[in-house]
Amino acid sequence: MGVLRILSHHGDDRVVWDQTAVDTSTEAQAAVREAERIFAEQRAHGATAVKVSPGRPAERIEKFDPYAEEIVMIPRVVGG
Amino acid sequence: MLPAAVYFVVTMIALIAVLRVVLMVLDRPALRARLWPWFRSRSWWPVPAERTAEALLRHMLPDHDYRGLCYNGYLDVPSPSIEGRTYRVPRGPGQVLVVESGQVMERLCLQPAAGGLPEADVVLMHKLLIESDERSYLLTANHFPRSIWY
Repeated sequence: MGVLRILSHHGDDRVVWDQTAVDTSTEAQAAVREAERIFAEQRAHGATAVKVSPGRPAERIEKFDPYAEEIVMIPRVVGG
Repeated sequence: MLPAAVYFVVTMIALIAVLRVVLMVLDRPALRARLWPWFRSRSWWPVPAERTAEALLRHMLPDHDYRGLCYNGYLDVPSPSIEGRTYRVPRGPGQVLVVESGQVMERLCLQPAAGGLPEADVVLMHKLLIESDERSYLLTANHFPRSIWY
């Protein structure tokens, strides 16, 4: 399953979709569209998107990847 | 016979003293780092955001890293680009230490613009940002010289 996690004061909000059925299932496509919308909205607010895969270092991404296993949206950060 | 008021005052002073000692012990970093994650991962913990964040951190970190974080109170994130450099991310308030060959070189301060992120999410945030884009992380963070006691 693909997961988009948004770090927030709620802990994390998430959208889940079946990444193996992205090309075939309308349900998966709807979930992907929702994830894509949230991704764009978060990016517009300055969030950083990071793709995470087990056993591999995190990778920053600029475009939504429906085949990613896990994407974490990190809210905008500033120097303290 | 002493009046009841004196007993009351003495009892209150004793209770306050005991409470202060308990709070002092709980506030020790090594104990604090072990105790709070345990509390937060319980189903009865009253702040769902902290419970969720703790679960996510546990899911994202390799076992030995999570155990190290609970034991030491900080997470060491190796620099992806500079050999021998480690970023020491504290759980809870504090600055990230840049450690090279066992020596603290400088301190970094970077935080979410909006605030309100649970402690566990902040640790995860530092780790992911360092791993995915160290250069931007360093450009965004405020740099401070190391403290004289390091």
